[in-house]
Amino acid sequence: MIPVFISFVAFACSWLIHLVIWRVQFPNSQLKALLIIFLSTWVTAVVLSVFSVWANPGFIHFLYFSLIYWSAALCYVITYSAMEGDSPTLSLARYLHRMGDKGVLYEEIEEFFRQRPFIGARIRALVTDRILIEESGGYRLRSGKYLFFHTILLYRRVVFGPVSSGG
Amino acid sequence: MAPEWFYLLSPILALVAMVVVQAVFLRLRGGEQFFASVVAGFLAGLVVAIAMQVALLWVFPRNLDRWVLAFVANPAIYVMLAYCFFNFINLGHASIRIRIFKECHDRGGFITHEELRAVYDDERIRDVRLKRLLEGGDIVKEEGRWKLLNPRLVPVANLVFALKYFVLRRKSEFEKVS
Repeated sequence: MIPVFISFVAFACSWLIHLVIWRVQFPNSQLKALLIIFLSTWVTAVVLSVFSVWANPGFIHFLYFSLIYWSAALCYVITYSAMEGDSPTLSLARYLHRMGDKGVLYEEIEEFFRQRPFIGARIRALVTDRILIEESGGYRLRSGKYLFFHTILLYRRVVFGPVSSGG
Repeated sequence: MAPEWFYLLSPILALVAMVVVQAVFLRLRGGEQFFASVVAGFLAGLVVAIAMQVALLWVFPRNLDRWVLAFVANPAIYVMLAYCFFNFINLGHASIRIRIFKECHDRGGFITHEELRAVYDDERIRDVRLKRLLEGGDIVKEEGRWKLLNPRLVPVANLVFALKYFVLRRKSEFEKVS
């Protein structure tokens, strides 16, 4: 049970460090900062434990700790990216739930979306994350491999077929 | 291969089963029933995880301490990996950021404001999301008024908004609370 316990403690430490840093100063690139915190805590936990706890139970405990810790960390990073920006679908579901049985007119939904310019917000996020560069007349993609984006799009092409625009 | 490795492989194999079953299910349905494919994949992975757990006890009856560790840790690891996978495929399905990146990349790395407006604007996002919710049975249009029919998304939305308020100190990216 040692790997489970250490994973839990290490994850809790990472989360508290993240919370303290966010309270003091919001990082510009939040996801990158979050990943650095998780990586630093993992390295610290490994260094602190490698000569004591793992020595006897063996390498398998270290692997278990890493697997549990990184699964939890990735879950949090993904959840964080969802809460960083508002989801149009979840925002709309919440709005309609608030309005109850009387529902809303289409014009009210239009107004709801007018107050929430999702596209502009996502473009700003891409510019802040230094993926897009704003130039006169449009946006330029910064040079880079973008493995994560390409992997998602490749998976989608394989499973769904060509990716269409919109929505 | 040492017996220990089989304990560790269990959640990974369960995830592989989930990925394969979800992809095959979706391909067979012609890209329809996305959420049903995720549920089918998750259940297939769960079956593999349980089967592995039983097999490990059967094949290595003396490694009881390892088995207990795997019994506690593996289901948790599998659920977390499945959650990551679901969000990964959902990004390709619904993420605006990924779509904007794709449009820009497809045009050789530069997209004009006009091109972006032509493929993406807030009106389009609104109508596509409304259509998706309508087709999914989440909302209904009755006598000209749009109502929430199935509140299954509300607990998820409330959880995300509560977390957002606790961690980021704001209710929405469009209204700063403090």
